[in-house]
Amino acid sequence: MAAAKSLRIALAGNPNSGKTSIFNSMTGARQQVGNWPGVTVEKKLGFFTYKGYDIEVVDLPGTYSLTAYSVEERVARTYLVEEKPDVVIHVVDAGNIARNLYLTVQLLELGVDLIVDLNMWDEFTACGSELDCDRLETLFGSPVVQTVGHRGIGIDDLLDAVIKLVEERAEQHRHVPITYGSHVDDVLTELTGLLEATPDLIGNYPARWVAIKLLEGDSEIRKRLSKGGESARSILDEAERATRHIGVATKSDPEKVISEGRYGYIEGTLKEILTEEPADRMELSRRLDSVFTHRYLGYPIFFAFVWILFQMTFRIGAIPMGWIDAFVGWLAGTLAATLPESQLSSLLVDGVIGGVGSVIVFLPNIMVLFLGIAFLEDSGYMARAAFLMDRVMHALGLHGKSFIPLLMGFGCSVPAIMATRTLESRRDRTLTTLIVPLMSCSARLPVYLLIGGAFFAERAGTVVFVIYVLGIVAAILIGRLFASTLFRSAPAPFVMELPPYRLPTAKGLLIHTWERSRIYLQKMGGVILAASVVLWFLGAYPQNPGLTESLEHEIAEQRAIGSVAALEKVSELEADAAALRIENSYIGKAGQFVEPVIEPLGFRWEMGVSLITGFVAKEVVVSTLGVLYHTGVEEVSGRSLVEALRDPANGITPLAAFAFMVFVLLYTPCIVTIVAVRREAGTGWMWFSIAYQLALAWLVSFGIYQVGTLVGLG
Amino acid sequence: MTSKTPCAVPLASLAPGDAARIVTLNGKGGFRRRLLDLGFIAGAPVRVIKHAPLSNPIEYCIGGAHVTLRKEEAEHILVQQVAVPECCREGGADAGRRRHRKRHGWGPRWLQRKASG
Repeated sequence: MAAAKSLRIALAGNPNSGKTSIFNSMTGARQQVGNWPGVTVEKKLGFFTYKGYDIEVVDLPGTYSLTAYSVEERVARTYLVEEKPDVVIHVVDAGNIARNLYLTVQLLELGVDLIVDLNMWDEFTACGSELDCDRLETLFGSPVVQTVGHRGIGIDDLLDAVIKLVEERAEQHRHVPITYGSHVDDVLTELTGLLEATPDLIGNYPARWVAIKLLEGDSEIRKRLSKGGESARSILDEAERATRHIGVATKSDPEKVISEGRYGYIEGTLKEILTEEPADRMELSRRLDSVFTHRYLGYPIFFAFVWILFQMTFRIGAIPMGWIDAFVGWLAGTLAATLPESQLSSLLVDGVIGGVGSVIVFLPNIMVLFLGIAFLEDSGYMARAAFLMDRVMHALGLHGKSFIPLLMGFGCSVPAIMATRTLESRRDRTLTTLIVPLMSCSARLPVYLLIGGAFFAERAGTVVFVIYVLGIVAAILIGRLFASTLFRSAPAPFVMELPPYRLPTAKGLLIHTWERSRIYLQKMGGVILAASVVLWFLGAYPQNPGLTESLEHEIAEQRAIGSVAALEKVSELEADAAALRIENSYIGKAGQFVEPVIEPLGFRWEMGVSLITGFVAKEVVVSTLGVLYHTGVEEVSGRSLVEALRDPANGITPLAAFAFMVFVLLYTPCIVTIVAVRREAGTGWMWFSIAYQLALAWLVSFGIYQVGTLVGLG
Repeated sequence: MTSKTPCAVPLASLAPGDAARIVTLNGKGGFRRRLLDLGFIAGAPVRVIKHAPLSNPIEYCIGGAHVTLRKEEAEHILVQQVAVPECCREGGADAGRRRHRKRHGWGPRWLQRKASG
């Protein structure tokens, strides 16, 4: 046997054509998910072997066309031309063949070695439709295969066709040039001739394709040519002239004429080979929609789904969450007990296990949430949700699809920001990413409960509710502000396809869920680990044994006495020592350093420290306050943290406490969110997001405290 | 090539259940191209399916697919209305039911059929 030969295939196709199910059937879970270079478009790679071939398959972004207008389409066409995959499989939704073949035609013009995969063939034949596949094969000069992706039917046929195509490549394909009418065709021939005469200008791109793109006014191709020399300029001038000429001659413009030409060609082809018009396969979907997008029932049903999703996330997720929490606690306890007390054990227990544990604990919730979202997406309901919510979201300068990420923000900002990927335009995606953190996530609740409980007693519920509303109001105002300043370009048009409803497959759902959970674990776990270690270091250093020497002396003395009163004294002294240590650590110094900045908000330096440690996660705010107020989170020496906070000697007024809650609401939720923002929007927006949230938090807290003091609430 | 005819109206002005043929497409850039790519080309038949509960966006059927557009976006598409025979009219369950109720009163169809027959 010869060594395995390697092959690269690319999957192209419309959104909702079942491309992903074909990809999953081919590769199983052996997938690698990343981004295309330089853009936040998901790139999925899969690897498998078939009949002695090592095959690498790329799932290109779902597109309707190959223009320069959208990132997805640019990514797809650049890959096809620059990376030259051995075979391109075009996954066609057989039930909507005309619209899908529109992309096939463009792929043929791009000169790729194409296999046309008529997917969802079962639905197509169930409608009683018939298609002359042999004739299609001859007309397009490409093999045609039928598959049912979600059931894995026909995948072997598809791969056999790939291998046959590769092995018999010597046979030239008959690439049928599409004619666009005499006005366009004459110009195309002329431009193609000019381009062929200057091969270094166009690189791997076929000359005729470049000529078509020039007539369509494709910005990327124009830019590419404008960098060329004299000959390129003359070609551009020629294209310009031809565009005007076609405009006058057809009373239209080339872009329209070419699109119409493609559809005309497809219509002609289908007339020849499609022996029966497909029956209306949207019939079932329409019936379901008469309930799901009903004038009065639509919203209640939508909110019921959302309610179920959140209940599932928190109720079902809470069960394994308890186990993991117990396990992490047990591990930390055992390690602390067995390891000799040293810097290393402290780093391991407080830094590593504490930090990583805080991320892993949320994994069950996140997996359940992702599973629910995958179900809504794969079934086709998500598009309906966007349809229902667009009117409201559009008023905020956002897109209907922004609603789900914003809503998920109440659970956790991280999956919410990851969910902005469903938004097509970069503008909408970035804008949504920026305001998602203003939705009060569940990790902030412990802070509200502590502060609210300490200062507002029975009115705590109302105060916490006000905080949540404030977050929504801030999101609306900031969204509108950014939409009208930073994102002046018009929001993306709501041109969205409502795909037919489909029952998602378990395999598809699981792969979907696992994929996203893995990203969460890898990216977020790594960062949290690093951040926890750094934070541990800042809290534990500089080491100054002399600082607590006298206290430790006293602790030892009291221990020796051993009476109940003495042991109580010991825990009190230990709390004092811990507080003294953190007060003199780098973090404590930082807290004292920022004191002048937070003083106008009515905050004490202890609160400043807790806000700094709160960058890691909002739960940490509570534990830090516990350490700094000498109590721990649990009750120590008969004094709870609540009492300590309330103690007039510490000088925190209820007004300052409220301002503190607002600050916690509005500033960066946690370091994991920062990583997620960077992943989805880029490093620049990450810094912007941190800066604007800090500024907003400071300004609003300042306003509340100062105005409150003025009107005598302080 | 279809030129503008006096009875060309914006697609946005049609009611659920109406059918039309596209006359021309205004607008520009990526938006216009996306519509062309989805099959909103001169001569293509289009049907209004339904309005979202808050009356915007609107669902259309074009070339076998259901596509949504906001009202202001559908203003850019000029169409010529085509008469739909009354018996084949569909357009949202709502429209059909309303017409049905006008004629036959309230209650499910099968019940009324039995009662009248």
